[in-house]
Amino acid sequence: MENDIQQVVLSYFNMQGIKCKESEENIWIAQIPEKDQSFYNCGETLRFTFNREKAEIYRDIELISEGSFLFRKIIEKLGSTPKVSRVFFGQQPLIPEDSGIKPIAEKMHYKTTVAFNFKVTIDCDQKNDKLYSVVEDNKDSSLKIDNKLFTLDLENYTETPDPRIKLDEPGPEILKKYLQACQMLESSIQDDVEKYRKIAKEKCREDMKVFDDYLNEQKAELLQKKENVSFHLYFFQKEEEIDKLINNLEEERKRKINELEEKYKVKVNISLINAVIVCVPESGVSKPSGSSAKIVKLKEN
Amino acid sequence: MNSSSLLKTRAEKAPLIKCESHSEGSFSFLIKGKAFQQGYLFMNPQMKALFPYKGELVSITFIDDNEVTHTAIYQKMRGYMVCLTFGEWWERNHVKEGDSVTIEVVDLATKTYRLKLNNGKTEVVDDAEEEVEFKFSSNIDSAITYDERNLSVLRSIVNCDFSPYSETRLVQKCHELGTGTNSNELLALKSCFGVSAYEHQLNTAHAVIEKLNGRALLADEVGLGKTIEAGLILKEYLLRGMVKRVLILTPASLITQWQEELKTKFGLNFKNHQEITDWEGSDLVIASLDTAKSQKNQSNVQKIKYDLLIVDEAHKLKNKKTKNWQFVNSINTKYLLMLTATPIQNDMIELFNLISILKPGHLSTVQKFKDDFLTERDKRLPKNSVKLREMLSEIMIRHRRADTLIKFPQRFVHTYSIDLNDDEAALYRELTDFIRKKYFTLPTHKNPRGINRLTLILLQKLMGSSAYALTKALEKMIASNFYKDDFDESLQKLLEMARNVKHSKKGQVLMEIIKNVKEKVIIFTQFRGTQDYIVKNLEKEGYSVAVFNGQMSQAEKDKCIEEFRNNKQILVSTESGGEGRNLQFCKFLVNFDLPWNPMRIEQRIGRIHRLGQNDDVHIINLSAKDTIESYVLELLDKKINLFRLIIGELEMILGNMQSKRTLEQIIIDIVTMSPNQDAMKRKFMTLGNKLEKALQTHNEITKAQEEIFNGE
Repeated sequence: MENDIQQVVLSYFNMQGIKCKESEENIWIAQIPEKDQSFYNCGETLRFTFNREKAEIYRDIELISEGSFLFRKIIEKLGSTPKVSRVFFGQQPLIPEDSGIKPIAEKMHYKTTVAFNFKVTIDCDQKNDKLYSVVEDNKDSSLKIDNKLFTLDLENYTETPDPRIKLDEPGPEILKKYLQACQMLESSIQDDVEKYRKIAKEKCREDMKVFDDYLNEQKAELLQKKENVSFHLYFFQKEEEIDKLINNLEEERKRKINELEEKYKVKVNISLINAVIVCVPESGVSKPSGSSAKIVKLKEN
Repeated sequence: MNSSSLLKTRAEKAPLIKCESHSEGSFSFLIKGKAFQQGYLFMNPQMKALFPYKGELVSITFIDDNEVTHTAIYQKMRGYMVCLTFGEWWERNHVKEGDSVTIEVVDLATKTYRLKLNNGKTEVVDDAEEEVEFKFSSNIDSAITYDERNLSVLRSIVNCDFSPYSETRLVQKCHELGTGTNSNELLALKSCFGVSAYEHQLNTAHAVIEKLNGRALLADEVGLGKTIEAGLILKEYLLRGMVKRVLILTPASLITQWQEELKTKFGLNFKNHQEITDWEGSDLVIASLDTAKSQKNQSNVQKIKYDLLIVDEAHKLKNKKTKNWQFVNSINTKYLLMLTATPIQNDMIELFNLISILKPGHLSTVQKFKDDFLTERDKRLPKNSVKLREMLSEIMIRHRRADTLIKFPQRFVHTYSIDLNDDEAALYRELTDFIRKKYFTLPTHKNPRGINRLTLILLQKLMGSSAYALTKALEKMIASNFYKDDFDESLQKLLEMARNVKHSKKGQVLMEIIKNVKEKVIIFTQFRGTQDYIVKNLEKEGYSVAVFNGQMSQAEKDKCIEEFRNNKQILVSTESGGEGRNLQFCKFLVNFDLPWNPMRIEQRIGRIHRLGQNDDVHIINLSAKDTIESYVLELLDKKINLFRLIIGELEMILGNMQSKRTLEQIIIDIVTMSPNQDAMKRKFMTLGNKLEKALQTHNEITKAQEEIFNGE
């Protein structure tokens, strides 16, 4: 974990154009531009470490670790930066040598599919974050959901297209895919959300019952007192006092019920972490001579 | 969707719709082609005027005649709208090509529109199954929200604003790291300092978060680290993103200590009420209960919805009729932690009142509680104690020191009662007389140049520390010329006497002590002048000395503590405050002088003797006979056993004095208001009796807790 965090943070600084170096073993120094100094809560330099023992000794050094605030802030900042990449499958469609079929140059194009990565947060009296990906299948363009994020091994992909291959800009279809992905995601989490709802509803009901009984009994006790007080010399005054107490109880009932409802309300947030557009070259080909010319699609192998 | 459809141009897929009519708030058009059925609406320029939004991608809500909502994404630049449920609407209403559709603005602020079929057949939804199907859609279920940033990601796609995959992967990695935690693990522990993971503390944090749903009475016996438990829970909630807005209510005397502990141990910067301009705008606030409930602040606090409220010394809420109880009960909070070692002081009803704030009704009503659990002979003892304890276990956590199996080392106190040298004693007498006389000529409007009360008290404390500290202060006063007219002569005389003090008797005794202690020692003094003197003498004798004071930077302080830990034998410090530093590797502490505020003495002791110290420790007090410090020492040592109390116990004992003034303020009054030495001694004696009584009450309460919570 420490290595992962170190890798993320150093890459982050690099991405932000912030220079940093290891000044001594496990202690790093970053030069922070003035505009960012309040974010890092530091001056021109930020001294930090990923090593807990170092931080224990040098208390003015910022510890960046799982659970540290700076790391959380970095995660939040990065998470709030929309990032989308487009990658291109590096090889052209494979055509069997002895098949006699030939690609039609003008029909060469990139077929585009998309992968969305989502974070779903279910927030109630407890909070639960889950990661999902919805990936478009290259073969039939259907969407498939997975409960882990989509990652790509860049070895077979480049980030620049082959200029000879036609490439379309993303159109409205991509938005439709997104909406479909959301719909799919909602269906997929439905059971989870219902489970949370059920538990929360039950807890809320229990708490409300205890509270209601408590207020009702208190109210009954006050009403009983009111009955008894009618023989009192100043009963009008006493009655008023008791009525006021009953009103206060009712006010408290409203307030506490709101508080409980708010506490046990299940809130679901779906956030799109990033998206990757994957482009795979595709070509129309001519059939071997002798047969009628017919376009045959070849997929990547 | 197959690849060929991707290659089609928009014109091929769907021609521009034909406008039928339009007004300021509505637009009618004839449906052409299959695009609408497939979820696309390509608009002409007239129609675009109906969607006057700034963003390039905007989320739009349509409500149809069946009151079903449809969410669409509008791409402003290219003038199209995408909606998955247009097709469902088409089917439901048996729409045909050439039908006329109207879109009407309902509310521009919420981007809501009405979708109407003008000449088609509208079918009323009455199929229950279909309703369920619709119900779980983001369009219908308001509990599901979509992050606003989602549109930014989509915007980057449609604008071809692509980033290198390494950056996209980095964002992803962050989310994986932030989400991939095991919920059984306490994240908080990973970034806390000086928090030893004692089992009882971890159990408390787990139990509060996982079982008690964030509302609990933390009632460990004193010295087991309730503050740490609360800090762990607080930090865990913050890290899990379950809590954002937090208020801590604590006695004024503990605000700084809480702030320091939260800062140094948990990395949390809480602002106190003096540091915030508005309560609404601050997420992490610490305040005294009195400040928060004051007329000025009360309504502000009550307006805010807090996620977590922590109330320290919660036994102050024992009485339901008090403003304290009513105020805390009126604060809106999701989670609530109440901390006290003594949930019951005089009466079981006090416990009922505390629980009523946490979970009203948990112990039923007062009357029923009395009937079920109160004996008539003693208000502090319950009947059905087993049942009561069972009920309390759902809301209260209490550990006893005996249960934790933590070794609490002994504390040995050695007090040296020292006869001052003649010249020192004469100076002390002269100064005390001067203060007593001048106290009655404090600065007024007419005589603003009088020495103020604080300065006089400071002079007295300086003398109690050392003649060297006094010399430095007098030199500064005289050099300032402020006191020239009225006090020049007296101050000059005192300075002369102070300069003529040849040796400090306390200094000589200190050297003897150090000679015999072969281990690491911390020497505390309140004043820099004394610190310089001690350091000079120690170094002259060849000791290795680290110097720690408030003027040092954080880095210098760190370095100093490291030197003391690794190389130096002695640390001379002017700061008693927590600082969160672990100095438990040291077992000897010398109080060269004594603060009049006993809390500061407790803090000094707390630096080496608290949870985590495995060896016995030695506290050495140097006290000059017949000085105010000696009376204070006698008061604290003999009457309330200050040097043997568990850390945290002092506050509880002083709380039983029922005084609005702090003990230091009372001592200052005694010193300054007594006309002579005898009167002062008498007053100190009376104060001693009060302290004794407070200790007695404390012992009785402790005994009662034991019987209630652990008795058979």
